[in-house]
Amino acid sequence: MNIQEAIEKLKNKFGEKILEASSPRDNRLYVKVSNDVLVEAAKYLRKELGFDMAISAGGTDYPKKNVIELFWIIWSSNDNVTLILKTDVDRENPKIPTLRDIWLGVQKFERETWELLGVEYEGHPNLKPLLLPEDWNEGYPLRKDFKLEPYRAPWGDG
Amino acid sequence: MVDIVGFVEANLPIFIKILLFPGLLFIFGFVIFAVWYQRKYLARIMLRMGPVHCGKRLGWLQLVADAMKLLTKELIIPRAANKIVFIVVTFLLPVIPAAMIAVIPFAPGYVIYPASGYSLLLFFAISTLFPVVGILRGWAANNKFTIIGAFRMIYLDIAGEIPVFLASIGVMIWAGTYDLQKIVELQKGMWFVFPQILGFIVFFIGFLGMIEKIPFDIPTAESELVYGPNTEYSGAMFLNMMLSDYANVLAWTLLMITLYFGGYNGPTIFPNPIVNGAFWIIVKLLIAISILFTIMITYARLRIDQAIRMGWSYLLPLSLLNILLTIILKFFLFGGVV
Amino acid sequence: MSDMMVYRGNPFNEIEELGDGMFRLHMGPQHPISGQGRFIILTDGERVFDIEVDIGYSHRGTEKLLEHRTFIQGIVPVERMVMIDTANILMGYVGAVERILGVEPPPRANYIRTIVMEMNRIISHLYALGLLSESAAWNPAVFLWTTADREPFLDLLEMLTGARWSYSFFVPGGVRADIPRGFKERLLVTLDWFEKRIDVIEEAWIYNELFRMRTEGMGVVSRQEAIEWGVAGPNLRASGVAYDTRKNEPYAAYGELDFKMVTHTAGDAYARGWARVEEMRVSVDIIRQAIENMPDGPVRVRVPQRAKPGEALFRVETSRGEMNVYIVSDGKDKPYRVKISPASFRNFFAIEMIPKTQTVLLADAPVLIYSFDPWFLDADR
Repeated sequence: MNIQEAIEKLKNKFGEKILEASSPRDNRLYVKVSNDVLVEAAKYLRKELGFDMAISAGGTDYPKKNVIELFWIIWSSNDNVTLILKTDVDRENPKIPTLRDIWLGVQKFERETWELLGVEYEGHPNLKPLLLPEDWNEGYPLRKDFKLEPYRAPWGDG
Repeated sequence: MVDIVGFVEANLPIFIKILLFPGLLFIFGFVIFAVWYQRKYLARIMLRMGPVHCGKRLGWLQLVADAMKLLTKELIIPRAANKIVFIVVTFLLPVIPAAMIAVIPFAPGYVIYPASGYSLLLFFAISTLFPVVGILRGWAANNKFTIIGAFRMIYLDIAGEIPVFLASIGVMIWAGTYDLQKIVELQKGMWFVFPQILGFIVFFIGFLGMIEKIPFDIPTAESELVYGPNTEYSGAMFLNMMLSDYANVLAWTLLMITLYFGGYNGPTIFPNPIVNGAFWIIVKLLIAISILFTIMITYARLRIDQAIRMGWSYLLPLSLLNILLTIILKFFLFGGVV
Repeated sequence: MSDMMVYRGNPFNEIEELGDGMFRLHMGPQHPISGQGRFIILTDGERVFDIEVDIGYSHRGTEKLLEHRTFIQGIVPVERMVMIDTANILMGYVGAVERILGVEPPPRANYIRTIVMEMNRIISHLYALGLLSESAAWNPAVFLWTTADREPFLDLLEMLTGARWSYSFFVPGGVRADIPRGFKERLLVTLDWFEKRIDVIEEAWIYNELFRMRTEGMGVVSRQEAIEWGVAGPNLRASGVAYDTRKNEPYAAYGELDFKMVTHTAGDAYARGWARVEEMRVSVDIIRQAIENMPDGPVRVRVPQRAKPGEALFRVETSRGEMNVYIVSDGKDKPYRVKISPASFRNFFAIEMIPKTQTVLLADAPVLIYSFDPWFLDADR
């Protein structure tokens, strides 16, 4: 499958909902979709375009735009193409359907993103603390407004 | 008024046997030696030196240091443990292998308790106590690891004991006696390992299970069960557990030597028959534990299901076959006389 | 108070919670494998029903730290993620930074990087094999053998970089130093010796009957499952998926070298262990080729301080599997966001999934875990 063909197919199928689709390097496909078609787009990418192996998931906080940009990184075992599927969610109320039913491998990554970035994955079966202590209630460390000062070492490193 | 001095004087030989050789002192000496030997021997295989700091390069003082450390450590008893059983078991456990050694002849007529000609049966009867006390120690500590270890011990012992018993029945039939003393005497001409080779193989594999060393150290599996039934024992109680483990190895190795490798028989080096017999049995013991340690270092541990399957599906039929072969060989080919 | 006393150390009160005869065994958190972490194993004594991996005991917030450091300052926190596999882990970060800064390292630096990374892979695989042999209840013999076999490579790395571990040798734009005099000759001698040692390890361990009994057919991950769960590295290739970042997305000098990808089809613990042994042979081959074909020239170029706004994804094949580093830049001298997805994180997920699909016995659990060669600090970040 050609990457350009895939972009065409995606644009034909979802039209305006594909906010961005580009391939800056070989074997890379960046797709940004509107969050209301995320699940359909993911299913389409999995079933029709053959992106089958989840290798990462996460998010980036943009306080100025008031969004959190979520991404899922998926590799296609047939075509050796790496897809970065992105979508924006509202920063105040970050809720998004989970993609673990489509790619099981993102389950642990979504759990980590829930913990560190405070994104609620609806339908995720196992949203429990993973990396942080069980009684952590000091905010979401990967958000930009999380202050490092209270945790800074006394010798002023980092 | 009991005449204690007179009683001791009258029974001096038996006191020497119990306290010095082959009793208490010998068992302690063997355990100390075996631990040291195991460390140094295995260390060489692992490209290490073994203990070198206490007692020069040989590291012989390391054991004293370790024993002192264990004896002076605090005895920690878990709060939920059954304290009486937990402590009593540590003293009970080393007694069993020591009692097993009591029936082993070390020289012509030199045995602590001859058991009126039924010494082999008595050995097995006592040995069956070992897992019973073993499960007590697992239960008393009230810990998940000890309980799983204790159950594994029971499974393993049942799967290993029966083939071992049946394999030695081959020896009994071949020799026509239960008396270990007579069995040894009959091996003056030929060791029983040659006519009983099939039985010996079964016995040896079962024996590895009985002493719970690799590949059958399943109850104390370090990778998943910490230290099996012994997990909660500390300090001097741990020392007792080690003692019982190694005494168990000693008892079973002595039985193997007695049944299959001619016991105390050997060329006369020392004029005194007792010294001569003891010398040969110790030489054979050293060779046997060297082989044992080599096996320990070269193999992986079996899973409990594999070990049980080996015991019931392979060793048991083989041991029955061995009995059949022994009967045919003895009564039809040799006419009932060995 | 009395309730507490009953609760502590009493395994039987879990029966009410979990059902008759069920235990929850805790492996860890003190070094169940290398590092701090915990495996919570739900078992009825022998059969394992569930393994839960509890990571995060050494979470250092590497991703957050990197947002507060310049690109070059990020090297130190990143390479501490996996001490035993420093070079490969660092390559992931440095490669991503180079991509976002838009610089290409000089060819000679690429070859030196390749040599260092493959030596590091050998070291890491040796350690993994030693641990796997120990988990199958080998006495530490094989572990100590492999530890001893590691030493010549560590000495060589010290000669090259000045440190045995965590040498921060790769920087954006190249490597810190050229190879010293006498290094090549010594490395070639070591490789000749090491090939013989691989044969010894293989003979003593891989063909050992009892070891095969323990590992063959145990913890099978089929090709489909491996893709579904996102298994990484030699574990993925042992399940028959032909993915090796060194081949699929060549970085450093791998694109110019000719080497073979080790794949197996069995997907069990034995195949995973064997794949590592074979990969060490491949690594020896790669190092030989890299020494032979090494071009002359500089080993480091100047790099800009600031990156253009944008994003870059760099995938790298570490010893434990493929790691990817996703960097977002907003035009400053610090990354806006770094997402590191280490291999062990994905392999832990596979470890959690395996008891749900097949029978695993308690004695298999350590073998299963070690056969994936996971690393807590890698997953914790």
